[in-house]
Amino acid sequence: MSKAGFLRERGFLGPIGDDLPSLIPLLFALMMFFYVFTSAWNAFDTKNSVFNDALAALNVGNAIKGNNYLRGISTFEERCSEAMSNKRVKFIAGLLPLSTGPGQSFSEVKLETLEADFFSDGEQKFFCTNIPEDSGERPSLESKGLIMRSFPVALEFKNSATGTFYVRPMLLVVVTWR
Amino acid sequence: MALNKFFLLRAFLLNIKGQAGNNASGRFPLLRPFSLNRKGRVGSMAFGKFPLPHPFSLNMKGQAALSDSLYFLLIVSILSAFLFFFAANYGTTMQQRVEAQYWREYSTGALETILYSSTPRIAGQTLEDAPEVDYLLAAVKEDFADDSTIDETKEVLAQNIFGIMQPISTAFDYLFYIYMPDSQEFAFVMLYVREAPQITENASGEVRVTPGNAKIYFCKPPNLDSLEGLVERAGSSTQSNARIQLIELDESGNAGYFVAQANLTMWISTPLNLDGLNCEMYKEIPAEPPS
Repeated sequence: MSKAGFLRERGFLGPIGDDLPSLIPLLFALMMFFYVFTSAWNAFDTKNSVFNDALAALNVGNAIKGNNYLRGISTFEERCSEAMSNKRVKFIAGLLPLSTGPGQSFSEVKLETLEADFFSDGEQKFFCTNIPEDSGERPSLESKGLIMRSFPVALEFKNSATGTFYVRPMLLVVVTWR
Repeated sequence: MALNKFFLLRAFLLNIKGQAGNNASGRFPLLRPFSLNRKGRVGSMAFGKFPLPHPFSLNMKGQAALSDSLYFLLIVSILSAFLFFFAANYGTTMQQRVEAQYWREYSTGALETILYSSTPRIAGQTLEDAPEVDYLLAAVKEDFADDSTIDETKEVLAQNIFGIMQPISTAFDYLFYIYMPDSQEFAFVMLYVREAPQITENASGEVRVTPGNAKIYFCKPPNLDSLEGLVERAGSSTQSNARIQLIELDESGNAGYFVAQANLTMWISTPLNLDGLNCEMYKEIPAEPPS
């Protein structure tokens, strides 16, 4: 009997055919590994991005609030320009008045009307953003990755009628997105 | 000798490429015992082209290759599971730290804002209209200096604290106190807690969750441990402290200065037992019905 005939008799199917059953789990294992590896890579990437955005929102808030005391619109604008150096996220920020007496109440933060609700001292609005006004890049409730942070701050006023200074609590609201 | 080493290395490399049969049987027969396709008997690397003269080699080869691949699958499955769980849990601690950092910033800002705030000298006036305003802390110190208690200004102080904490008051309970470590007494303790939500089921089986009312208490705890016990029972909390100076006038009108500690602690709303804190309810704030 020839060598080839001998091999056929022993069930030899050829170099690929003999290993074919073993290739199936092998390929399955490789596919599974690369799928999990890619998913894990994407998960790391997404989570890192979320952390960096959350930290960027905190940094914007910290830059504007400073030591939690604002001496007026000039201090606010000064700190706003400092916060604008943050290029990672787009943001809008501003002040909302907090209640100081029994007759007052703080209404919840509404994203739809946030820009209009920001406090104005009669002349200027306490509003800060790093996006141009006419760019149309305003956030909507549907925006993904929208982060909102708020910080209580003290704002100093001067009563022009009586000439007295007073400080009232305000809420600095920072909304960031990519 | 060196040449022999070279041939040995070359034969080894050729064996890796699966060409050992040709070379091992020809020019370097002595190297055959070291060739990889000897190991290939029990693995899937023998390529079947050069079967070894072992009586069971052909019959065993397919099964051995299959078991190799199954072992490989097992190892890869374990590695993949490990990688999956690592990826799923990645950043949990970081997430908690970022959140904790934010709430620390909030409580610090709130405490500073409470201490910086102004108040009209005459009750009932607003800050905008009052002819005379003062720092709230100055008014509190003045009140304390008279009779070593904060009584006249405690409602103003409570209202101010409530106003500053209002943006988060639906989710958080908080405690504000002024403590004098030297005498181990409290000058002021205000506690804001929200009652547990009521879960009711109507006749049609519809479950309705009604948020609990919020209550503001003024308390006179016997010692600092009782307040710390309350905070411990509340779970994870965020605290901010500030040192302030209080003045006490003696009978002859001489001022005595001493250091006090202002503390703001906040935690996620949790029903708590207030027994032993000697609390008296100041105000109840009805919960807003769910929309």
